[in-house]
Amino acid sequence: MRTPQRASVRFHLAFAVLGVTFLAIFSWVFLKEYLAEWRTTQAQFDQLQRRVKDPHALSLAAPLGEIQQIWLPDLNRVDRCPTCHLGIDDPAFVSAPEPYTTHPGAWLRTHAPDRFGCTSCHGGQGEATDFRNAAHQPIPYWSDPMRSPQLIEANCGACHRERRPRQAVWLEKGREVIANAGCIACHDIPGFSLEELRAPRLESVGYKVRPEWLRTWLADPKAYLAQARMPNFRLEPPEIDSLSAFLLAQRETAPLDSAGIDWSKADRDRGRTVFGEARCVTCHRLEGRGGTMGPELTTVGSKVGRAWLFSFIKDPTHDQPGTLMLRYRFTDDQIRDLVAYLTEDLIDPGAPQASSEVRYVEPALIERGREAFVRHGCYGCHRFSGMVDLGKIGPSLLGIGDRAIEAADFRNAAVVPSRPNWLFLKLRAPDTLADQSRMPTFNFSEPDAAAAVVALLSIRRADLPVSRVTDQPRPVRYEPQGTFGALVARYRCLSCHQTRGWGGELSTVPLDRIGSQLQHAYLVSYLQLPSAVRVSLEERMPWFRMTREEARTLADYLAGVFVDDSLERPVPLDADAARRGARLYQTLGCRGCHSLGGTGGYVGPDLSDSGRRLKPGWIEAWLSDPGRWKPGTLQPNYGLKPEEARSLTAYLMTLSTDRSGSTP
Amino acid sequence: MDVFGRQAQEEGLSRIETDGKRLFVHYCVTCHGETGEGDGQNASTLAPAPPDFRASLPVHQPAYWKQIIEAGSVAVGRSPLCPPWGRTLPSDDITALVAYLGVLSRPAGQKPVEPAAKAPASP
Repeated sequence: MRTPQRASVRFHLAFAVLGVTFLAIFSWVFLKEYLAEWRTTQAQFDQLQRRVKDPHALSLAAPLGEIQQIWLPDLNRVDRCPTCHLGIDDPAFVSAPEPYTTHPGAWLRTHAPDRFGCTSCHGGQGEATDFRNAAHQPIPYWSDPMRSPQLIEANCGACHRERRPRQAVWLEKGREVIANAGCIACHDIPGFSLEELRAPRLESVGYKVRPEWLRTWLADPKAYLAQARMPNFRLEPPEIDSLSAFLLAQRETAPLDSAGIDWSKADRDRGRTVFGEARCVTCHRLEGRGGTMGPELTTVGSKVGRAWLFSFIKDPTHDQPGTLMLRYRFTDDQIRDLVAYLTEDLIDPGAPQASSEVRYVEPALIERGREAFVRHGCYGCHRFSGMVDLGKIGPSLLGIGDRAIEAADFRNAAVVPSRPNWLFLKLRAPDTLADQSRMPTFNFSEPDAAAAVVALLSIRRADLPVSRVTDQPRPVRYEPQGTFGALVARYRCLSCHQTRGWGGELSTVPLDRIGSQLQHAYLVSYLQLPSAVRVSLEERMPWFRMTREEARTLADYLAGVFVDDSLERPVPLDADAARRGARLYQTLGCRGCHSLGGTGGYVGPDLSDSGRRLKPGWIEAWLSDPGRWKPGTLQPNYGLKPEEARSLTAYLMTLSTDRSGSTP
Repeated sequence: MDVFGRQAQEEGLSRIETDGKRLFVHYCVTCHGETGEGDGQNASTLAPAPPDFRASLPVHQPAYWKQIIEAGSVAVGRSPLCPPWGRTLPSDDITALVAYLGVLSRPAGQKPVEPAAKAPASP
C-alpha cells in the first residue's frame, strides 16, 4: 500500500519542478523579448523624432514597436536593419547620431531600400536585430561581415560587372590591376575571359635575347625593368640554368636576312634622330619618360641582339604576329642606324658581360627547362605552339569573394584572420602564406593590391538573377579587310584608336565619326606627317613615313565610311557671324584652354588651324553639347544658343596658319 | 595587424570627399594644381592666374564656391577663364566637388573628421 503513495509524491514533486522550469523558461523568453536591444533603440528614436519633427509629420511617421524588415526573395535576403536604422531614408535625421542618421549621399535614390535592401551593399547579417549579431564589427573568421568603407565597393561589383563602374574608384582600379597583371593567364576569372595577354611568343626567342640578359630577367624581371609585367617566379639557380637552356634552344623562325647590311656605315646619331622623329616614346619609355604600351628601351641594347632587332623593326609581325607594334616605312639604312643607336647607346654598363666560350648544352638540361616551363605555367602568358590545351595552372577564381578562411591559411603571418587580409597578403607576398605556393610575386604596390582585393571580393560564388546585373556590351572584334584593312593592320591603328568600342585606349579620339570631324585634305597631310594638335600630350601619333597614296587611301575610306550623317550639315559662314564669334571667343574665356597663334592655354587642342582642320558641322555640334560626343570631356557645355554656336563656328572656320592661301 | 585596413585608411576622406577628389583631379587640377595652390600644368598660360585655394577659399562660403563651379568665375564678376560646369556635371558631382574644396580649404594637418571612423576599420 505504501508504494503507490510514494509514487504519487514523486509524481507531484516532478510536476512541481517541471512547472517551475516552464515558468522560468517562459519568463526568460518574455523578458528577453521585452528587453530586446531593438526595443530600447526604438524607444530612444521615439524621443528623438519628437524633438526633430513637428506634430503633423509625427502623426505620419511609421509606427514603432515592431520589427521592420525588407524581404527580397530573388536575392534570398531578409534585412531587418530598418528596425533600428529608423531615420535612414528621412532627410530630417541628417545630423542625428547612429543608428538613426540619414543615409549619406544620393545612394538611396538609385538603390531604393525596398528593392535592394541593406546587406546587398553593406554585407552583414540581415536577420539579426542586435548590434553584435548583425556583424557590424569584425569578428574573426566570420563569413559575411559588414563591409568597411574601404571594402564596400566589393559589393557594388557583385551586380555592376562593367570594367569601369561609375563612382566606384577602388573597384575600377582593382579590375584594371587584375587585367593589366594578366591574372587570367593562370586563373579563370569571371568577367575577364576576353582579356588579351600581351606577352611575347617565345618560339624563336633563341634568336632574340642575349643569354646573359635572359638569366638576369628570369631571376628577377623587375631588376631589369621596373615596369616589367612579368612577375618574379622565385626561381632557384638550377631552374634558371635549365629554363635559359630551353629558351635559347627555341629557334623556329630565323630573323629576316640582314646579311647585306654594312654595319660599319651605321650612324648612331642619325639613328637617334630617326628614333625621335618616329615618336617611339609614345609607346616606349626611355629614361623615365614615355609610354608604357611597349617595353621600356632604356637598356634594350643589353637585352636583344642586333640581327633580331633589325628584323623586328623591319617587320614586327615576322616574329610576333599579334604585336601591337606598327611597321614603319623605314629604309634599310634608317633601320640600320636606328638599330645601332638602340643596341650601342641604350645599354646598361653594369649588365653581365657575354662570355665568349661556347658551351655544350646537354639535351637533358633543355628537357628539364621544358618541364620547368610547364611547371611554372609560363605557357599561360607566352603562347607556345607546342603547348596548347594544357589548361590554366591556377584555380578558378569564381567564388573567391566567398572563400572560407582558416587559421592555417596564414601560416606564421601575424594578421587579423580575415578574407581581405588573406587576399592582400596573397597578392603582395604569396610565399609568406604557403611553402609551396606556385603563385609568383608581382610586387604590387599596397594601393594596387588593396584595389585588387576589392575587385576580387566582388566575385561571388552564387550568381545573381540576370535582372540584378549590369554589364557593358562586349565589343565585337573589328578587322577591316581589303586595301584599307591592310593599311590598318600595317600601321596598327587599332593599337591606339578605338572604333565601335574595339581597339586600344591610348588615343582619346575614337575613329567612329572622324570623317565627319576632320577635312579630307587635312587627314591626308596629317597621316603623312602628324603634327601635334594637343601640345601638352606626350603620346603623339608616330610618324609612319607612309606614302601619299597610302594616306589618301586611308583618308578616302575614313571620309566615306567613318561618318555621322547628322554632322554633315551646312553652317552659314558669313563675315558678320565670324565677328560675333570672335567676340564670344573672348568673352567666354576660350583662351583659358585653347591656343591661338602661340598664346593661350593648352588643355584643349590648338585652334590656330581650325579652318583647315575641322568641318563646320562638327564644330557646331560639338560646341552645342560636348558631353554627348565625348563623355567626361574637359570642354564644358556653355549652354550656347544655336546662333552663338553658329557664330563661333564661323569664327573658327576663318582661322588658318596657311599664309599662302593654297591647300596642301 | 590588419594589413588591408592599414593602407586603405591613409587619406582619411569621407566617401563624398573621395568622390569630389576624383572629379577635382579630372576636371580641375590642370589649372588649379593637385593641392589647389593654383600651380597646375596650364596655370602659367592664364592671366589672371588661378588663385591659391588655401588663401582664397576660406574668404568665402561654400555657396560661393558652388556658384563659381556651376556658372563660371564670370558669374561672380571675375575673369571668364574658369568655365561653367553646371550644365555638364550632375548636381551630385558639384556637391561632391564643393565637399572636396572644403578639405582643401582646411589648413594642413587639420584632417577632416572621418564619418566612417564610426564604422569598423576593416573586418
